[in-house]
Amino acid sequence: MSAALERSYRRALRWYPAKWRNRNEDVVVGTLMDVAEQDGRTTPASGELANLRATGFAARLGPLGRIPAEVRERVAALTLGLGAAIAIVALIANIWQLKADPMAALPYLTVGPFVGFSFIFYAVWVVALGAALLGARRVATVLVLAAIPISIAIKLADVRIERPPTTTTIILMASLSILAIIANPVGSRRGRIRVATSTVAWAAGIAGTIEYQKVTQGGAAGSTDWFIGPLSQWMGFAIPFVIILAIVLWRVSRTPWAPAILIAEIPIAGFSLLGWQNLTTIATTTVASILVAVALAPVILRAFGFRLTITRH
Amino acid sequence: MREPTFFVLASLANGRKHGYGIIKDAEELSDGRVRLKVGTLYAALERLEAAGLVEAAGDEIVDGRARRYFELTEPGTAALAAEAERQALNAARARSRLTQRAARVVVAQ
Repeated sequence: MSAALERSYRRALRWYPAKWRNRNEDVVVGTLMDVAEQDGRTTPASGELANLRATGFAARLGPLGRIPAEVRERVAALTLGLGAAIAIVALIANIWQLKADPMAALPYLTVGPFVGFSFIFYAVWVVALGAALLGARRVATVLVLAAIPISIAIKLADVRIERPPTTTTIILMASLSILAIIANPVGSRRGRIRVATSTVAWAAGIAGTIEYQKVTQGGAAGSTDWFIGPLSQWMGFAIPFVIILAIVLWRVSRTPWAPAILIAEIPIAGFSLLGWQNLTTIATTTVASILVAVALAPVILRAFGFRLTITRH
Repeated sequence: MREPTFFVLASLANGRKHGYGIIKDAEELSDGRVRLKVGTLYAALERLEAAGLVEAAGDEIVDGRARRYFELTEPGTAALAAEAERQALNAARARSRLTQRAARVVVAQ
């Protein structure tokens, strides 16, 4: 029985990096077995394995793992929400396009109401959101990570099948995948509400962008992520305002949302940079990205154990 | 300093201890409020080691189980003393305000 218990502990410890395990695994297992013996248990205590997985994962993240949990939870809520919102809109846009302009989709393969196979990639994100909201964090983590190779596979597949997700979309979604799993955003009811709210807010923002795009330029049928370009421009414009919002929030209430917003902004800043085509817009986003980096410097330095102080003489 | 960190350091104040010893001690010192999870304890110890407040003080195998002992360093002892001082000062200030309040209530009556 105790051998089975030890095995389950060692399995959970695989969440730690190999180097850490070489140094500490036996000692930690020894302590876990001591505690179990004292409690008279032959199975792991409630939450014990989850705690090992969480601390193991944090150890893998290195300095990023040292960012306070309440900040990481909010980063995860914001990025999971954005990824899921993009996926939901992409699925709806895909169905809508095929209905609105079947001729444009003619050269491509249609699968049910969808053009090509991109819908699989987006559907994985939507299912991950559903799993997270139901509290199945592990399933959500696996799906969000699985979405990365799925998107690359669709991209590499024969282009005659469809217009696959752009490289920009793939990079954005992959970085959202990674940030979405740096903490458990759905560990509490409040966390689940945060994720749901973040998804709805992002989806509303994206829908607004699409409406604007439709009014000004019309949609570009045939691709599932035609709205991504305009979205990246809007997000680029928003970066300086988001930074100001984060600074004001920090000054007013020291809320963990302030650093969380800045960290979640990193993939968005990169995305805007990749998505923009002309020099002026690239210059604007570069400046915005530098602003994000400067604003984040104290947080990053702190994660590495430094503190930035400005003294007035 | 967060409460679990404080009790980890306090537990090591009277000599080196291994992981389970620290967990048991922290629980006792906090009247059962702080029950450290093993993953959290080792994450805290690693952080404290990196900050130079705690150091490993030997590995042993007891009844087939690996044990690593930890002890406070000089800076660790100073950090614990400073935190204890800060908490004592806070408590004294709060007690003094409560005495003032009690006196005011008596006067008002």
